[in-house]
Amino acid sequence: MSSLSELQHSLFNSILNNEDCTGSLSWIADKGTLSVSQRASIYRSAYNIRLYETLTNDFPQLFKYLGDAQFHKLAQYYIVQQPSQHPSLRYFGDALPGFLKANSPYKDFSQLFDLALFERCLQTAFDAKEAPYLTIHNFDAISTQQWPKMCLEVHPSVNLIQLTTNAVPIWMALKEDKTPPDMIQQSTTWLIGRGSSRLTYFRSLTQEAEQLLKALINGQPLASALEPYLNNDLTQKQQLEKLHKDIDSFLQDGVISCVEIKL
Amino acid sequence: MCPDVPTSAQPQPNPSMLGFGLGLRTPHFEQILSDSPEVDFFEIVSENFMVAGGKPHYYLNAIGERYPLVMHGVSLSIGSVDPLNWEYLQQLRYLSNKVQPAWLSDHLCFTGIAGVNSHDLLPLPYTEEALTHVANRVRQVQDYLQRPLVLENVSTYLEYRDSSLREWEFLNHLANDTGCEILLDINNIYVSARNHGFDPEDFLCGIEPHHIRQIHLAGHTDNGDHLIDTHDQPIAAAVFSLYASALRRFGPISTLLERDDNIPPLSELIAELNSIRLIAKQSLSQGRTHVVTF
Repeated sequence: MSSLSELQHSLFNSILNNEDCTGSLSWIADKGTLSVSQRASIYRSAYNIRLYETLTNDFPQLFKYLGDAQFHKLAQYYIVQQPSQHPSLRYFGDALPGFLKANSPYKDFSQLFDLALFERCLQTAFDAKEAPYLTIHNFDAISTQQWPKMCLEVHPSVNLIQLTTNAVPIWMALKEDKTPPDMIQQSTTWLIGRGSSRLTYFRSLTQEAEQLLKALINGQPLASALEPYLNNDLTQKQQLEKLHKDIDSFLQDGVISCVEIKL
Repeated sequence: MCPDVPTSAQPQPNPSMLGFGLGLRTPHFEQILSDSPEVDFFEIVSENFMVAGGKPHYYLNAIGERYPLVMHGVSLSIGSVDPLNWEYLQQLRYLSNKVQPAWLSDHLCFTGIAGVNSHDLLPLPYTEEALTHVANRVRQVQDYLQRPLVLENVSTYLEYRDSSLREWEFLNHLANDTGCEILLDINNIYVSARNHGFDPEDFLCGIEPHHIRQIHLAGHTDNGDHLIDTHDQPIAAAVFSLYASALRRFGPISTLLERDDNIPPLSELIAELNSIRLIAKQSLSQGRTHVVTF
């Protein structure tokens, strides 16, 4: 008689092993209309289908971009190499961007990593932690004299990613069922987050806005986050206007959660 | 044919009867809030709400303000020989404290081993060793969650040669040993019965009625020589018939319609739920139950 542990390992091995292992299925009761091999294969198929469908649901545009056959090949490779270790399927695809970056032939097509990372970040923003949103009205009520001492807290859904290709225009075309543009190398920083209407947003950032946001994410007060706006030929008034415009954009998107005045 | 239910075990009015519920699914979130459909309670899949925030929690809060909720998990893996996943249990307790469900259920199965999750409800061998193992874990989980667990019989496609107990005997022993309760999935009984060649009425006759907290109903796919529990189509006539038989034996029990794939408009599910209500009413008026309250 086999132990509980032996039986669980036997079933699990038969699921993970894609080969027909009829000879090692003697632990299954052999009765009824199905063979023991057929019985084991039901679980094996269900495992593969469930994980495959999770990837197609979580990476819909990557799926379209690669097409059925190539995506299926990728998924089977990923399922074998990166078995799920989390109780929720929500996290099964977390390692896919890194997998594409690390493994041939996918690593030779950098837009695949970018597409997968972008889709994963949209999901992360979708169900990120709740936090309030600072409105333009509330921000404008703060005296400009207090600006240097302000710390703007970034909403937990906000994520900055650096992509090296035009993956986002590709993603947008695919989402609208249009022919995607050819891949080009194009370094862009993208802001992704979830707004007050609980809809996910994304947009590219200028270099100044990117540096400002990184400083805010690091908890720096606004005074020390202003540096990127000072290193150009603009007048002080123009610098402030540019800063104000970027902060307004952040507030409109829902990037800023709250403000703290450091005394 | 079932033996008569002893007088002391005759169906009684069920104080925990919530009525007739639906599985809460994303495509219906908005319409539930706008139309307030006649559903007595909703059941959430616990893992779908083990995220930090966003729309899932917004809708959970809004719907929870209007309807009673119960929680139904798929990843407790109560039968696994892996150690209990305390991180998962911590999240489950947090969610449970937030949702305040009428009860909290999962499945009598294991889902993973050696840290790998199959995301499937894998069958356990019904042995004394497995019973002792599962009972110890049920006690630990109940102590941690400070509430009884409700465990569901799963659809199975294989049985272990070493099993020495029938599934219902295992469930009865487990419930008697630990105080856990049973979520009786009528479709799963039917699917397993067809796949393993036993009479589903034997399951109903064998299970001890006082442990049953809830009933699940769902659709399956008939592949001729076997059935698959797909939850992607309406309830089969044979499952409705078995449900009627269960209610005649057990009396009124909170009943939930599950649909997880090929999800139809909410109106179709409400119509199916009303069919369940009607069958329950007819069955209970024919059965031994004297008091029926809806």
